[in-house]
Amino acid sequence: MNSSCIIAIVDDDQSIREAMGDFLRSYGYESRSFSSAEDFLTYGERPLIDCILLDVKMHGLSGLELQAILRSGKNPTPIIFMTSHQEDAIRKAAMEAGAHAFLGKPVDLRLLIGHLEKLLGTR
Amino acid sequence: MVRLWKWLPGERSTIEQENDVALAIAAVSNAFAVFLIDTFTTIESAVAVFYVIIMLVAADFLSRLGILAAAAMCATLCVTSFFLSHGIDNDLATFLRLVGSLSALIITTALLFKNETSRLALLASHNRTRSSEYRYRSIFKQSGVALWEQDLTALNALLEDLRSNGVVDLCAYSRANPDFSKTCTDAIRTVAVNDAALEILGSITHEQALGPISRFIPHDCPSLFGFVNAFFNGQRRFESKGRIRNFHGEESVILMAVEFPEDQSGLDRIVIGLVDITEREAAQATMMAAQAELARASRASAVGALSASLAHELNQPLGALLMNAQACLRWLNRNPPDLNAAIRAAERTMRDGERASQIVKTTKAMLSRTPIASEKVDLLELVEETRTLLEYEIERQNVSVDLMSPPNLPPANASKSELQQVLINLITNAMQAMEEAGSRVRRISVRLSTSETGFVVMSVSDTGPGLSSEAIENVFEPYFTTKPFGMGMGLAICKSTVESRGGKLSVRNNDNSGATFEIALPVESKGRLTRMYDVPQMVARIG
Repeated sequence: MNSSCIIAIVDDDQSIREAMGDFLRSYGYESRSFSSAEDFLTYGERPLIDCILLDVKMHGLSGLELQAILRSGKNPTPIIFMTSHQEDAIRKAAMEAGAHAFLGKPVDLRLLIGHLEKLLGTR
Repeated sequence: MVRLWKWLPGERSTIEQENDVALAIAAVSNAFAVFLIDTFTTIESAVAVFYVIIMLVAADFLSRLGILAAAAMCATLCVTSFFLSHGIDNDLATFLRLVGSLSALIITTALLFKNETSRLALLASHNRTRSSEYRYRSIFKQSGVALWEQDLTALNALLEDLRSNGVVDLCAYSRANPDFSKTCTDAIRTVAVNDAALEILGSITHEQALGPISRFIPHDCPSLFGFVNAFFNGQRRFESKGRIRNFHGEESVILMAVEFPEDQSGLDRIVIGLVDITEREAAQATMMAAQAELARASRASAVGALSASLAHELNQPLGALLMNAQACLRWLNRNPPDLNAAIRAAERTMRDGERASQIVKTTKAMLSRTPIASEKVDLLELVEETRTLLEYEIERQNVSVDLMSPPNLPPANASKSELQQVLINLITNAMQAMEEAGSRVRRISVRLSTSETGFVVMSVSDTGPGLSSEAIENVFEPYFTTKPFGMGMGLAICKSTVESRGGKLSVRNNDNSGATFEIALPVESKGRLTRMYDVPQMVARIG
């Protein structure tokens, strides 16, 4: 197992964070959970994160705003969006801003694992 | 002004005036002749009686005052010649002759005076009639309301004929004789129209408007039959909305009103008032269509907003639940299985499932927060009201809506406003089905009845194409629709509405054509209500 591969889960729904964390663990991925974009931005070990699973609509900064902030830095971390608001305009904006994928909720788990394997390699 | 002459200036032509003058000269010269004969001859008779003849001639051109003056003159002449010829000493016979002459003169004068008085009264009455007729004509002509003068004598004869042949119910007779309306429109003849009516009839000339009204009234126009029936039944007034086809074949909607005369004397000139309400009707139709569209749109958007919010609310726990279940399986499938991790995942699965079911419960509670109380609903009244509400559409699509009900139908226990929505939905669906299929016969029959199981039943049958077997199975399912732009919510909502009142909504195809939707509702009875959950087996039999 490559312990240097860490996935960040940024979602304001606690049950989603817990379920996603355990689900990723069952596939051998390590994860960190954040209940808001602000939490994530203040996280000290942000450079260690290899991929972000990001909700679009959250209290405070939205997923798209976080994406914009991260994009302004060097080597932005790949982002996979997860949302129940699958409006085309949001999807388009996210993809144009360089998102790796834009998944609807409930997340198609096989599709998610496929994207993660492409990004991080098989665990 | 003192006037001796009978005629007013300008009342007599020149020849007549000359005649009058000649008569006057003749009368005066005759009077003079009689006076001479009476005075200077010794004829022993009442020559003075000849004055009477002169009075009769003079009455032709003298006024009442003139008659009196002429009589006074004649009497004076008579008396003068008496004294001139006989002196003051007279025998009785001579004196009686004078009295006889004077009496004849007085009686004649009185009669002539009375005759002239009657003539003047007659003249005044004639003048009043003439001015009344003139006033009527000018109102008729100038009125902004279109007025039609019809001769109903032929129609009256036709109806009298039917009556003497034993026809009592004209509706039944008309159903049995489809040509009856045509015969009626041929029998009613226009005898006069005003300018406003000419405009309604297509800006035609007065002559073009005269004759049988069959050229202007389509004989399937229901108000025509209403008019004939009102006349047949001896009603005094009739008002109705109808259709009129103008000279160029364009139809317009009119409001007509007529007052029938008390006796038959005026039947050759019945005035019918017409108001063109085509534009008003069109505006009303547009408004109703807009309202219907708004209602549909707001229902669609309410359903849309609700399902979007529900979907979003449910997505979170469902997504978490799926991930937990997947993780649980993976922990169990490990070699060796990680049971502790699997148990934790299974526990979270349960928790998320409960959260989802809680959302559904809350939504349901929220939606049924203000249930409308059940009430006593008179179904007959409801159907009639609904038919009136949909009158415009029903008429526009040329559909007939029949209503059949047994006497003493018990009231249903339901919400009237809800039930009306259901009925509107069913009738509208039926009309659309018949319209889309281009059905030739377009009849909707609403039958009310009671079932042996204590329900009051309202069935709505149409003569459309009926439903496919797939549609019969699924017609009440949400999102099932056969319409190109349908949402598939109407009947699903109808069904849940009826069921929420303890009733049942079912559908079947008719033996010959079309489909029948049947609503069974609990009978409203004081105290206890029959409810579906009280008597499940009964309801099962109804469907």
